[in-house]
Amino acid sequence: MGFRAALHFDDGMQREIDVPQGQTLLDAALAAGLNLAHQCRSGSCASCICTLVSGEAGNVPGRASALLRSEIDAGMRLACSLLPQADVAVRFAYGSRLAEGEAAIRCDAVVSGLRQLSSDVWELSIQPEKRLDAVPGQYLRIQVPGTGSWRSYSISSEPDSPERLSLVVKIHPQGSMGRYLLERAGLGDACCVEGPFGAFTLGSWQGPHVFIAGGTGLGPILPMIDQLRERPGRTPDTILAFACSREEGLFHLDELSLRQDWMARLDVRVGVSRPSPAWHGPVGNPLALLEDAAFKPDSIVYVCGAPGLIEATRERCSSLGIPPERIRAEQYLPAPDTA
Amino acid sequence: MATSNARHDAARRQYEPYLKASWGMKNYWYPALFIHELAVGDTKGVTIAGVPILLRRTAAGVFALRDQCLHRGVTMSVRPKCFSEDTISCWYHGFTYDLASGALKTIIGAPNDPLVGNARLQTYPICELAGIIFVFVGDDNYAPLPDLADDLPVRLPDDYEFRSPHPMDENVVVLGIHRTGNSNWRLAVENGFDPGHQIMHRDAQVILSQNLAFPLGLNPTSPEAITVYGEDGAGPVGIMNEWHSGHYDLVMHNEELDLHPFGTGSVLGLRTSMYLPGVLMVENWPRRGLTQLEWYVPVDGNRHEYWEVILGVCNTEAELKKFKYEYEHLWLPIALHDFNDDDLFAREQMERFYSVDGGVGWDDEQLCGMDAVITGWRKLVSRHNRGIQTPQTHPSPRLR
Repeated sequence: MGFRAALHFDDGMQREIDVPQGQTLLDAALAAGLNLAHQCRSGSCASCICTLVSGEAGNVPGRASALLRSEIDAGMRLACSLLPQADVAVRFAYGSRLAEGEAAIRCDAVVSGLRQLSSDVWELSIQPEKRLDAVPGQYLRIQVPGTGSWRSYSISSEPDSPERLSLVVKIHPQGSMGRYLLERAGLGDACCVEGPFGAFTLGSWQGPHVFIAGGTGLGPILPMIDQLRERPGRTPDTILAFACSREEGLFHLDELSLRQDWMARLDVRVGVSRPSPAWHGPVGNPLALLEDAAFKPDSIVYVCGAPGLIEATRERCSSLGIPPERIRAEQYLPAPDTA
Repeated sequence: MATSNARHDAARRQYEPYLKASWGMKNYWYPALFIHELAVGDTKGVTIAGVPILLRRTAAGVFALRDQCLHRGVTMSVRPKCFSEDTISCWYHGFTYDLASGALKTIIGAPNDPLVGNARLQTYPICELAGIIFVFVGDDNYAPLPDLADDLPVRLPDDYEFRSPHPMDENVVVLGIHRTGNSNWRLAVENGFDPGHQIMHRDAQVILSQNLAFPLGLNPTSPEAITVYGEDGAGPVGIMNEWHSGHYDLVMHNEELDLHPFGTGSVLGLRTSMYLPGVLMVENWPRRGLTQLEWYVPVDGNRHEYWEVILGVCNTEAELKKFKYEYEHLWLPIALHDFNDDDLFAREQMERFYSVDGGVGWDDEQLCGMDAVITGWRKLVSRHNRGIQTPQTHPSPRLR
């Protein structure tokens, strides 16, 4: 026996699938040919986040969950762990096109660009052997050249140049990628990549946009802002709040300045949370750069960074009356060997 | 191929959206036809920013819809077929569209086809002003629809020094022509208000006949040489050369070649300004008290429709008769043709260097001091455009 699951996508499309007893929603969807955003399939990456709208469902027992308390309170679940116990309706915060598109592919790639952007941030560009058609905001997994370690990074380059994908990498000197970049990286190094993954993408919502980027969380947001500017219709009022812990860690300020050159409706705020005495700019995490009036009741909020920043953003939005479904979050966690 | 350095690339990236805009800007009002070119019952086709548009006037007014049947894409305006007052039918297979909504109302030989009632062509808002039919070209249902006034030159206050006629003035009369230029629209705009190309017009009839001391060159000497409009988000967005501000160096003599202007007179109040989406206003030209407006409407990557009109205010029949006579016998031949023929020639000569089909001009040009206002224009477009039109942004004709 089994249950019916109705999957609602952000573009208004709906798909219904059968979920056999004991199977997770993700497995059933993949078996039905729906490529829901996912990656680890073990409850830890949160790529397959969704909202249980109606029906009863349990979770695969004995697993960690990457969901935040606030997300669980808002009805969010992980499709890879969700076991329906009745007919269910589930909502995904991305369009059906993403789910019906090509699945992630794995291919060889070479390193085609290396650039230090700040004291602890590098830009790593790669040229994949096959075309990875990523939507702005998505990420890929990359094998650290010469090792067996895999890391995940958001794609920060524009989607119209898929032959050269750029990743913004926070350096942990003892981490696998950090040691590679600091000690032995060279153009032409061979590696392996897999992707694209993730559902942190631009929704079809109208209304003012607020982007909140902590550190390298700026990476996926740059191409999302480009997409927002270029998509049909009136460009909404947009605020980007970006902060790093120290001023020498700030990066891509030239790229942000260009976005302001290209988009009259873009208000960029840059801050530092632990500044030196020489810093004269705004102080605080990215959320602290935004006064209450920066949020409107119909704002849509995108936040990318550490779990604490996401929690704080949800709390702030909740206190300002912005419903949870108007907030999209991408969590950045350091890899296990750097934690 | 282009030899470029990092500094050159950084400067160019400031106006990268402009460099992408091979088909112009979308979500703007553009002139499509003179009102007298579209009588009741007429159907005509134009192409603006790459989009084929059919214009038809009925007793109920002017209608504009995509001039491309959603079935096989043929151009309907080349053989207009109308079997009822409020529809147009494709001459090929009889797909019949409601003029006002673009909806597919019937297929003459297949009225039960499921497409009927489930497909439509895009329609375009229309506004008629000062003898010109304007059409709003851009995204389907772009909202809110901007005012036409926002896409015209700025309307200066009545007491502004040397103010000359504006298309929204009372009793304004607009006379002019339009013709196709074989260059990208950007080359046309940049020619239109280029303060550096005075020398080309040195021998023009309109200069010589009025004994004008047309400077050999005009070089900006401070940021105040240029006024920018609309950066606060209200009204037209544009950039004005303030020739008489004292912040332009008027070059009246080239020592090396011992060249001077021929004449001695000057045109008081001559000002040039350029507005998005590419509208030139020349105040007090071709004589004091008149205004010349130009549009460089993008057709596709290699062509623009060049609009040249002269505005005069005529409060009486006698003034109207005089203005028409003056236009026909003086300004049409010596301003809109002799003088502007040289401009059209110059743009077409630039086209190969800058061609969207493999030209290297945007990479290899060498701008200099006289070009500050051109760089300003490129940045203004990059920052304030309502959308960039390219072959890639061109939508499919079929809408649901």
